Amino acid sequence: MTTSTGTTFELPDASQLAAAFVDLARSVNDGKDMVEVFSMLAERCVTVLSVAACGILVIDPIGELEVIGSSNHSAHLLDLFQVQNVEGPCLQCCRTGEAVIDTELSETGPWPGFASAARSQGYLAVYAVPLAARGVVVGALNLFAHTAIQDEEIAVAQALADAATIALLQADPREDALVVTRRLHMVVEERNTIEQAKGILSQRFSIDAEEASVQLRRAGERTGTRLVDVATAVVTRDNSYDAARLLANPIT
Amino acid sequence: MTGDRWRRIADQIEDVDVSLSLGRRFCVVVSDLLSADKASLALVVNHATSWIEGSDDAAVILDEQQFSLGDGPSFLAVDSLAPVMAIDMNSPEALRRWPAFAPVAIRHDAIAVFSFPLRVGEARLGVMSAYRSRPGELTAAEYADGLVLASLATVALLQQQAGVSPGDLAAAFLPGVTHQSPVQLAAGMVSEQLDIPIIEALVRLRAYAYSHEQSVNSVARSVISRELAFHEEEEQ
Repeated sequence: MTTSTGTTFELPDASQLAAAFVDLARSVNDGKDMVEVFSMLAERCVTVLSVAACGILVIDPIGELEVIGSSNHSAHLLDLFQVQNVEGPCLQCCRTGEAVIDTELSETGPWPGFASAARSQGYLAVYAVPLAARGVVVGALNLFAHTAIQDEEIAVAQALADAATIALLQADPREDALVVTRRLHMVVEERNTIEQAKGILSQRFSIDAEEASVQLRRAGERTGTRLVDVATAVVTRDNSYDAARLLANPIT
Repeated sequence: MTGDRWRRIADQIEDVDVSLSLGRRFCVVVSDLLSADKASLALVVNHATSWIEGSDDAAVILDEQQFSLGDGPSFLAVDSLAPVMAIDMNSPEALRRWPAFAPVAIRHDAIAVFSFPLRVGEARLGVMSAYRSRPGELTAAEYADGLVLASLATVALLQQQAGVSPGDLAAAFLPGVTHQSPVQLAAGMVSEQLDIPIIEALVRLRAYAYSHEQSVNSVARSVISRELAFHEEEEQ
């Protein structure tokens, strides 16, 4: 599909979309941990939408935004930037519960520091869509694009975000706010454990954080272990886990 | 998103009788916010308490008992790294679940017990517990306050272990509550550099930040960029 501006937009086709939903649903059913599901959501958004990167932040019990998953390292940096500088579309999205679209990234706009950081990474448009459960905003999905994307694509991102959020936060039979709080707290702690394990591997093998993340995933895939359990075994140096033994050396 | 919640809590601690220790003042606030009768804070190393503070002496005894019996919500919260809510110690389920501790709890009129682990990722530091003389659950707001209080206590105790003199409450509670991601990555690296548990690595990062007058986040960034390596620091 071509628009009058001459830029080519490709709406995701139905089969690609269906596959993304099936993947998400399957990962929740398979008992994948929340960090894995949110990371998969970030990756799928990059696959099915014409965006270059995606990052996911949740609001922790203290009320601060914490980065949970991202499709690549630059999105991760930008998310951190938003959080640390208390400005950016993600913050506004979390405050209002409404999607935020910024296709100008102007240095005289509402978030000048964020805009210039995003531009320096080569992004020209940024979108934030809310993650909400039972009417409560629990975080936001951030999309970073090299060109403006279509409204329909934002709707697709919102649908994927809803699917992941509902699956994760409503998995508990107890339908109350306490459940949401508990699971949000859990996902932040799981993320902390995974970061600690990445640090250990990054030192052990002299690799960067992104490669350490790949190592953790490989160990999980080879041994059929959840990412957070691999991370726990690495951090506690628990060699009764196959995954921890496997990570004595780099997995190629 | 402004951290108003912890500021409100820090203000509240400020208002408690200053002749009490900081730990006891903190426990008084925990007890108040969770509508409890008493509360405790314990540092735990290898399933044993190394330090306990309570809003009163009975709270301290309740924690001591759980760790000497190896049973009870405080003990389980540290072990499982998850909050444990015991809503009625008089119920048959509670007597089955806590065979050793339930009779002790009932004797001390601790009918509902809510325990939150003091943890950062896989690093476990101890537990915060609140005790009520009546059965029943925490409300969602109380539960959320419990998580915030446990995060604050975790940071304050890490600071204390790192030798950071509290000076004022802001110094004790505020730094490094949030934006944990780079700090946790750096803690993993330091843990591997010095072959020490992750909890010790977190303490080392804070001690370094304090003695070099930097933020924990900036020390973490130096570790991640490999400008700073703790095993090389030690050799010097």
